[in-house]
Amino acid sequence: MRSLKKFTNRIAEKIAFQIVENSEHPEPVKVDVINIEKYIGHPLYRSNKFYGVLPPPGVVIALAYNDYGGSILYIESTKSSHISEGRGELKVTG
Amino acid sequence: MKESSMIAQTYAKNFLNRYFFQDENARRFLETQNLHIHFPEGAVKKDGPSAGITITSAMVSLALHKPVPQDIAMTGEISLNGKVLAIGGVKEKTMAAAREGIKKLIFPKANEKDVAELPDYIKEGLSFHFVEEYSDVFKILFPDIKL
Repeated sequence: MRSLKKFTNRIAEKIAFQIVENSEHPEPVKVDVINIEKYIGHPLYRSNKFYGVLPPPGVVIALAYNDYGGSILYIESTKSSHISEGRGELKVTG
Repeated sequence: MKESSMIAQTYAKNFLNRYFFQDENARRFLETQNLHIHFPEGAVKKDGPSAGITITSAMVSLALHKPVPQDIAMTGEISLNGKVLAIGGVKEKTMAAAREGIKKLIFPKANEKDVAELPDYIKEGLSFHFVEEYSDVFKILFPDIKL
């Protein structure tokens, strides 16, 4: 909630400045989803859904959480042998 | 993650052998191919066993060559015999899923009470599926494949 206040203030300050700069003809200002980046900068959190709607087989969405909240994360799996058949071995990274 | 991946691999092999014994390719896949499992985004801490059913699903999806729908997310520890065990962070995980546009959530049956305690505004637009066994997960992911 503290950050909400901070960001609302930031929007108000920018608008106030805008009005003062154009004090001759102040225009009504509308803040919406499209132009809010102009006032408070880029979003802090981006979606981490980087596969589209139809990923290759072997990709599944998991859920994780820590002290800062939760997030979705992909689990990717592929086969890692092509020329010769493998032996059912498993390699884990990340 | 290493241990949950190993458990998932063993269980996925057993699962495929049991339910797909006529499908030679699917049955042989995990036995013969080398696999690589990757958990992208190093920034997110992800130790703990709660990805068990997800890793299993990734392997089964790969072996059957069937993609998993992307509006489903799941969490749950898996035992060697495919029982789905309780996990933590139900509230955080549910909120993350809602934020990312997930429609169906698969949770362990043992976490049903944690979901019941969540306020309704968090659960809006989500459908919850509570599972006890891995085969329940499979039926939700691939409703058109009969076990």
